[in-house]
Amino acid sequence: MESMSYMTVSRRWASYLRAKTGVSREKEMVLAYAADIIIINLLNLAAILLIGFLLGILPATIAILATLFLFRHTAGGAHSDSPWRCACITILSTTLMSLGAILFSKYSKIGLDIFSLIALLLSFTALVTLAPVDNPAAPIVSPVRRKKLKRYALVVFLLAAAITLILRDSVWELAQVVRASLALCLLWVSFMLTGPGHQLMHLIDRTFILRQGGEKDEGFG
Amino acid sequence: MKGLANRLFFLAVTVMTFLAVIASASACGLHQYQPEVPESLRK
Repeated sequence: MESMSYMTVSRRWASYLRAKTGVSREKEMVLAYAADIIIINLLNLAAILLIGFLLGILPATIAILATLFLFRHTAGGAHSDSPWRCACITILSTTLMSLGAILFSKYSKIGLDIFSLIALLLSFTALVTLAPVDNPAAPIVSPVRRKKLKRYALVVFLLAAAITLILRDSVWELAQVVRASLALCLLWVSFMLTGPGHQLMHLIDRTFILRQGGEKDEGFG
Repeated sequence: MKGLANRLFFLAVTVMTFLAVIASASACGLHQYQPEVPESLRK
């Protein structure tokens, strides 16, 4: 387990389950990986939804989370080195996008049309040329899987484009908020696919290193 | 009681393994941090 960089609490959880069930050491690593995924996602989701609720921007936050979830799963993107910084960046970016969506939704219909169109064009270009973007911690080894993920990312893009179009003339009171949320989220996930997106994450990682080496091991433990 | 606890532990292992397989099949997660995927799940 020493070679993998899971949070202390995840490693303890996996080690406890191994002791209770007698699974192999290899399986213990899989369990620690799953524990990391569960803890980080639950904490991030809870914090983002709570902030969205407290600020009264929950519909925009939910629309952004759904879009982010679908695009990040298929297209990938830049990553932070630490779960703590990851949590800060995810919470901050989602909240800012939600606030931005509320602001943009008050624009004229034509203004939002132009904004959505720009977001769709830029994200389509980024997806076609760059997706899926992997990273050393989770490399996409198989070319077949790479192709599949790109196809899924384009399907998600088509879905986002269709929703944007359908909501344009919708009488639903939140239609323009959701449309603006989609556009902002598309721009963000596209940016995270690019070189400057990776450079930004790298810059944040280098700027906010709390203690060099082993920071990940201290997490939640 | 011990039997039930054992079953719950095995259920937890099964659910977590399933989740790990799903997570490793996607390009990345919702958040900006990617835990290292174990060798046995890389593809």
